[in-house]
Amino acid sequence: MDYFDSLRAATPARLQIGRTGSRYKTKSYLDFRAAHAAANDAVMSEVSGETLQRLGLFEVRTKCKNKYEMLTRPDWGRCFSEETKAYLKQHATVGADVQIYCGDGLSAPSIAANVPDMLPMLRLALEQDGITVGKPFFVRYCRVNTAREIGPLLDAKVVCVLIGERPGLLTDESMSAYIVYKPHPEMSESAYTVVSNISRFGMPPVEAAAYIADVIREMLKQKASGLRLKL
Amino acid sequence: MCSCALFFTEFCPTGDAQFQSKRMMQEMILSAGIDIGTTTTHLVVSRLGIQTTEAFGTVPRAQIASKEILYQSPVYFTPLLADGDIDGKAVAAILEREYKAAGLTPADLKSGAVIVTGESACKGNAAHVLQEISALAGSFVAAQAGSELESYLSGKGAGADRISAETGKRVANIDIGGGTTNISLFQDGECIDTCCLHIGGRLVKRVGKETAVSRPLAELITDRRLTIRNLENDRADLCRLCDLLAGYIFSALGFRDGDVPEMLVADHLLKPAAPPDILTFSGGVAACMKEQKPDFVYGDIGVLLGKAVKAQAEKCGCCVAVPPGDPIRATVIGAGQFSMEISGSTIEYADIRFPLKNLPCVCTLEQVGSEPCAICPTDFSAPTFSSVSALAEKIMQSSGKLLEKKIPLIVITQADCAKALGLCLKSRLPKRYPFLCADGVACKRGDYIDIGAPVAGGRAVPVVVKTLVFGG
Repeated sequence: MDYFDSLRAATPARLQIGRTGSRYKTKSYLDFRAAHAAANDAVMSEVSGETLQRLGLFEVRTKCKNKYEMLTRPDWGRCFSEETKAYLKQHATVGADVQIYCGDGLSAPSIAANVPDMLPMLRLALEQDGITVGKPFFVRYCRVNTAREIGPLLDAKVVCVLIGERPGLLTDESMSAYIVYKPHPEMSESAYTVVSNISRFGMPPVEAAAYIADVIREMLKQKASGLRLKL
Repeated sequence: MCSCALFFTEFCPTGDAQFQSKRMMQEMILSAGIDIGTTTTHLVVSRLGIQTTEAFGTVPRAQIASKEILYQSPVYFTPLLADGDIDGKAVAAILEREYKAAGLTPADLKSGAVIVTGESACKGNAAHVLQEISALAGSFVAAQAGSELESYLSGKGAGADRISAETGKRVANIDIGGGTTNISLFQDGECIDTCCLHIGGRLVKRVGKETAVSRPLAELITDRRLTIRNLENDRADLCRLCDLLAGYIFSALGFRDGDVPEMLVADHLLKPAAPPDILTFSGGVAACMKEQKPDFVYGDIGVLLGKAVKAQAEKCGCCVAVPPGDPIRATVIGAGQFSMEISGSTIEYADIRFPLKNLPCVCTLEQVGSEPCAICPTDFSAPTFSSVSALAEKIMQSSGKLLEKKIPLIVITQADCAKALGLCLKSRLPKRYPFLCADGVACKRGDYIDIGAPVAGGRAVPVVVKTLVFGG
């Protein structure tokens, strides 16, 4: 292995990819275009009903009607209509220790890629310790701050949002977990504990879920999250 | 990772997030290296800093971040009994005295290694000696030996790995001791090959009025019709012998044609490859190369051999790097600083009494018996929920005899899945059954493993894998 090979092997970033004159080589350019297109698609595509069925998730949506509204109106992406709230109260679990739900966020593919490994692991780890887990669901056009409404609505002690990350040029299926103890509309952003970079290229989803279960257990014990949580 | 400016982003993490804020904590542990060699015995105490790095959005990660030498003992002649065996009681006495001088008790030492090196390892009572001093070696100092490990540790201790990582060149460290020469080859900071030869400074030595020649050399001397009865009088033939030996070292490295006589090969030769770009030297004979000394100041051929090696290196036009530090201490520093690694930072365990020592690594589940062992499924990668649960199920099925005898279940994987696998095991094990599941450690069949008490707030365990990832 020569020096540049080892440099390349050290990072997935596009290092030492060569050039022709002042331009990329054709392959580098096409790779870049493909990754960029995948990133765009990840944001604009929808999670299919089939995927949700396979994951056993029922669906609700925020006040946004489509992706464009979600991107241009962050304020709508974090709240629900009265009908949706009533539907949630009826179909989801009220008063569980932990409410986990998934959101498309900025990457639809992250749901199919990571949730199948995460939900069963989270359930196993938490229920093993006698922690009750509310029925998980999917929120379309979802932003992290839906937690501020979901928490009080379903009266959950801990809310965990599994949401698609803004895609980069490396992977379009990364997921983050935003976890918070007793969220409410006036809470500060610093109350979130975040585990990011969950994907087969980063932290394996099944291992991330096992770790998140630990974090949730600590939150219930310390009655705190975010900066106030001592891990 | 480039982000697309196209989006309004209210709250969007990317991989870049980890650059935002980093919080670091460091804990210190003391580690000892004890080298009982053919000629010399000495001890070095190091302080290792285990650092836990926490960054926004990431899982805290523990790693060894600093290494610093706190105490070095004088270099003692290895005490021998009349029959040539190592005097274990005398070695223990040396260690006791040195601990006192360093202001330490065995309980202070959390890591490190005792190694019996060179010819000493072949002595009949090597195992007995290790037992004799194990009480002095602290709760987590492993007793280990083996020429491959010794080569590896001497190269690490000499800094050959660092030079290879910094220069991108292939670097060989040649550790010439009293009884053996250990060669370790490094590329990009990793040890890629080792070899051990019966070449050393004390293979011809003065014993009382006589001159003693060790067995492998005696054959060579007869073969080459050299006469060695007395060090001073037969200086010319000794020089010839040392030239031969130095030549074999450079043949072994690939700088010269010609085979190394089989009787001088202690374990195996290096795999055929181009000669290394840079050489470093360590061991007692290298110390003789650094400074001018009278030929027979130690009553052996160490100084002459040093001169011969130096001349040969010049003749071959090798690039020789001189790392800082005392070359004789390379192996002991290696033993104290490089034998331990830290597991991955998401592990799972319960009700284990640390340290766990000398667990044999069992890599195929069918081979799990009824004796304590570490189960190391080597063919497991790309963890998913179903593959991890299936593995847990298979481990449970093959560990029936362990469970019957209430032997703790220890599982070590390379892939990042220990916490998930641990939780899957926990759900299948009886309540409060002792188990440990750790990852980020590579081990193979035939290895033995020591596991110390958790560090970094219980997030990771220190691990020593004995014998190496290659060779055999």
